[in-house]
Amino acid sequence: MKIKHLIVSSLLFIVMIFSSVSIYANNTSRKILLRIGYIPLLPQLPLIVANDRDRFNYKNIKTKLFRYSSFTSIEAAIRVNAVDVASIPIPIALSMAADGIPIKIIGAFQHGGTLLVSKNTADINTLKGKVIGVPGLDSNEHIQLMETLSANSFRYGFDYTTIAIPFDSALANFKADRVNALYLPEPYGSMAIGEANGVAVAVPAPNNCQTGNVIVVRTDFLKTGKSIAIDEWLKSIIRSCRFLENDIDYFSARQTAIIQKTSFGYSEVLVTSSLKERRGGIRFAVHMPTVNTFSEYNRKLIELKMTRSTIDLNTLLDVSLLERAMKSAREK
Amino acid sequence: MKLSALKIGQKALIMIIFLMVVVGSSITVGIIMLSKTSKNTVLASISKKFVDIQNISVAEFNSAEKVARDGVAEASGIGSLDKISAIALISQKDFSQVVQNEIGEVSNNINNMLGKQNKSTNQQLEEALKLAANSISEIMAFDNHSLNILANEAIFDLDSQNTASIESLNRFATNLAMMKEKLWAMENENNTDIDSLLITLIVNFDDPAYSQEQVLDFLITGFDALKDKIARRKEIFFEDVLDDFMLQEKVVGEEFRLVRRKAHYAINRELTSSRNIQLEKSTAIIKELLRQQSAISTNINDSADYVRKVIKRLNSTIQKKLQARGKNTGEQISRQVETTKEIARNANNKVAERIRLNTEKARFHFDTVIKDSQTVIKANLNQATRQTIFFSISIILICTGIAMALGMALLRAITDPITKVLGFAEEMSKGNLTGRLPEGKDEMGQMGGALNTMADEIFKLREAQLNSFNQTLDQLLDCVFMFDPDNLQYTYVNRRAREHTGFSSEEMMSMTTVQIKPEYTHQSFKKMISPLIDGSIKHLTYLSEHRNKNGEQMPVEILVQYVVPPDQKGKFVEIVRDISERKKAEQEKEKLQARLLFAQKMESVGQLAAGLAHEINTPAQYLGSNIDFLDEAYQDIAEFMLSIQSIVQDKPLNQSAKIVAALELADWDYLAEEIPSAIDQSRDGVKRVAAIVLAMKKFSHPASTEMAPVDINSVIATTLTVAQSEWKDISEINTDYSDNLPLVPCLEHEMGQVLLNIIMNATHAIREVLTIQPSDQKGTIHISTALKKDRIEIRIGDSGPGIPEEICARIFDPFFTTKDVGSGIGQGLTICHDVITEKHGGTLDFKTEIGKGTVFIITLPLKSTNNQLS
Repeated sequence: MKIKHLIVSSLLFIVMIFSSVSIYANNTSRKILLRIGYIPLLPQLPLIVANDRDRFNYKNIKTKLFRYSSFTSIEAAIRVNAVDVASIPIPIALSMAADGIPIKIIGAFQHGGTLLVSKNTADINTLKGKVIGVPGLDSNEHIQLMETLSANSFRYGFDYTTIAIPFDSALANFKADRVNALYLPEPYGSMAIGEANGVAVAVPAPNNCQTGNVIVVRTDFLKTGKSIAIDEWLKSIIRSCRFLENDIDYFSARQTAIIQKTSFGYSEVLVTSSLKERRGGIRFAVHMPTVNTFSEYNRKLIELKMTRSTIDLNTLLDVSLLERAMKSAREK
Repeated sequence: MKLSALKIGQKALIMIIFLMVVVGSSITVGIIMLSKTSKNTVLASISKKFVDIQNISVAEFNSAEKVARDGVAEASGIGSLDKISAIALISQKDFSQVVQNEIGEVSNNINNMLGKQNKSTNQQLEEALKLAANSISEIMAFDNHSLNILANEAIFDLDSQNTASIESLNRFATNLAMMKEKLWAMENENNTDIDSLLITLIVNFDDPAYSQEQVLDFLITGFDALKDKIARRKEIFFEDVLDDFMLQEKVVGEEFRLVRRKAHYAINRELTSSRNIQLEKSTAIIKELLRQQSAISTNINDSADYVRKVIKRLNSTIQKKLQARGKNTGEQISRQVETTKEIARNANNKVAERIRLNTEKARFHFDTVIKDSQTVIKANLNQATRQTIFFSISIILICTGIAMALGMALLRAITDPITKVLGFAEEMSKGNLTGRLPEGKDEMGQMGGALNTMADEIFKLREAQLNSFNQTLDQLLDCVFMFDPDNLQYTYVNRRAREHTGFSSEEMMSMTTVQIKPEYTHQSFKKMISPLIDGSIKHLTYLSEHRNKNGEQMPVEILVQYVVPPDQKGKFVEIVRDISERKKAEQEKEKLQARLLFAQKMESVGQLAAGLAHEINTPAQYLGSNIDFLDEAYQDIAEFMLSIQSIVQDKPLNQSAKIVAALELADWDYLAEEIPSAIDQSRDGVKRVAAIVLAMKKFSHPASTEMAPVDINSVIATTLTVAQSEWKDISEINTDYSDNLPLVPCLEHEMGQVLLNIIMNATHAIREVLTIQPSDQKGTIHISTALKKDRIEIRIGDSGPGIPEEICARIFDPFFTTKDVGSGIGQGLTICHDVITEKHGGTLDFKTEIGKGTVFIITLPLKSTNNQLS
């Protein structure tokens, strides 16, 4: 009797395990794939941290990270629908919208994190006659730098020149004096200080155009009823911002430095020193950009002849998803 | 006899007599002197007047002679003719000078103007040339700069395209890897389907229910379905592959298109910017050159105009000036002729008149001198009278002054002592008792003596009060410092303050308060206490450090207050309390709290372990009983099988074949050999689980607060079982227990904790060695117990790396650890030391050798004391 009892119990146990596995498999198969594009820059850390910490707990999404080396390559990926979501500069988002690419700006999760580094001097006035490397002429950094230098009575062309410089070769070009200064997102500023005798230049914040990169989602992804996936992902991003701020404040960003190793590959010392000193005034906090901010950028782009089309900014900007996620996060 | 010895009445009498003598003497001397002076003055005046009369007579005769001679000369007109010829000569020279001056001036002006013009034009031309040269250099430099930027942009674009290419290749490589995985998965699925079809085929083939045709049909249908399935899979796979590749191709194409577009924009922007700047610079240069040209042209025109104007003005000026001069000269000559005629007419009249006038004048002078002489004699006599009166009054005034001065001196001799007495009394009323009055035999001297005595008495009284106050302050346990608000120099310190700082009172009085406060400078301290002076805060309490004479620093709590005594300057009073003991107590408290926290944590871990042990124990028990049951059942089955085998041997071969086949199918021989050993192994396993659970239960049993006799060997064995998972893979345990070890009074739970900590540390040390130098051989932990007179000794040695000398002194310190963050909290050995020495009255020591290992030696007394029990 006892053997029979044991056999029946074992069979029941096996049936239960198979049921669980099939339920899990069904659940897994129902998860929506969210393709996230990123560039290995410290302001993009929330994308990496959220994926590292929450990917096993997602109920509705399955995330996949795609690494790109420049804002242009990530722009190309969004344009041809190779990624669903990414954090990109505002001018690129506006440019894509002007070209009719179906995207929505749903918010932003970081401020600052860009450092102006020159050789041997920290005085902004010594930049007269110099060539300054920026991530792209359609980057936030370029627009902000022009605003700042204009406020300091610098005239483009007469007093300074900007040039788009690839991240990979930025340091080598800075060392070779092809550019006299760099205005790039972290950790490139810190690398220039540590490896090429760079000195951080104090840059007064411009009055306008202060917002960092923005999160852009392809509209067709939202249209197919996947907003629940975005909602879950945004909550994860909000948590990751909190995690990053806590880690910087209380643990000198040591955990973040370990997490970024697989996706970014920077040395832990470089990341901790940049984050704990909050170089470039870096802050990770979700915020909602306004139409006025984009209007200001759009005005600058038209002035620079980078765009000619008019954009319906009210349609382009949709922060309702982020607001909902934040409300939900606050309630928890 | 001294003046101070005289009475006031005597002093006044002397003064009056002295005054009378002085006045009388002075009047007599004055009268004698004045008589002599008057007589001499009158004689001198009369003599002088006679000499004057003589001089006037001679001068008047000379004057009459000169007048006569001048009259003759004027009447002849020689002087006028000389003057006319002189005027003509002067006019001639003047004409020539005017012409020379005018022409010279004009010539100089034109020269100057032309010189300036030349200089200015040259300068402007040079500036224009320089500007043009500079601007051309600048434009060329800018061109080079612009070319450099364009070249760099080209390089950076190539870099970008290079990176994009490498990145896309990487993505292609990733895609290929994924495809490879998908291919493997597809192949597996295909193989599974083929296997499934073959199995079904074999089963059906053996089944007599299916005919050969039916099997063949099934085979053909199955293969067709399989082919379709595989084709579909291939199709899906290739679609996926194609989609992936196409997407990647799209990304690359789009990226190159964007890079090109952005590069075009950047180059156009640079070219436009460069063109605009060059245009702006060229325009500026041309504008400047035109301005220079215009300025030069204007300058030349201005110069020509000026020359024309100057020549024109010269023509008119010379003509006008010559005409004016000619006219003026003619008029002068006519006037001079008329004047000469008039002079000649007047000369006769004038000579006669002058002689008459001189005679009259001489007579008049004689009369005047005589009258003057009379007046002088009269005046001298009057003056002598006046001088006599003046001298008399002066002497009287001088004598009166001297008398008044003496009187004043005498009065001061009388009033000064009174003033001194009044001042002394006033100082005394303010509390100043340092001054003393002169003493003597007169009234004031006697009063001075009395007041001095009174001041002495009051001073003694105040000293006594002050001493009493100081003694009171000296008995305070707190330090009292007083210091000056301006230079921060100490003015008072009590006995406790002197003991606290180690300086003597004299040394302290020459020091400032910041000299014992190393945290502050003079300025920073003054800034801190300034709100007390302006009254914005009443007092200030702060924590700081004081440095004593030996240079030691002590934490202190300071209350500082600004006090202003009545009629005195304000001062700062500091009440300082040494808080070294309090600080130590706080640190002790923190340590205790940390330990308490740790103990609570360990307690909760223990409770958890106890719960787990309970949970595991129940299934372990029924596993054990089931294994026993299976063992018994197997014994029965084995006997049963033996019986069957013996029956088979007795049966005919055809009857026993099926049974033999069944036994072979069941592989009974193999089972008969393996089942007993499997049951034994299972039983051993369960026993080990039960032993570990028992040890854990024992180990995590709530700690007793009272000592009880304990078998130390048993405690060590239990601890080793608990820690088995830690040491079994990396270390061998060698035990050498003493057989004659008595029971030791101790807290069993805490002793187990100590042994566990030390064993765990030993395993960690061995793991460290094996990590650095991997080896097939395990490390060794040697544990021994021994009886030593009235104590027992436990030795736990390991073959770890040993403890470096520099940290030997610190290993029992709280929170000291050499382990990585999160691996250890640095409390283990601290607690062990505390448990062994404080709670059991034993000792915990160690011996270590680098590269060989460490031995911890615990000794425990066989008799516990009351203290330890409590």
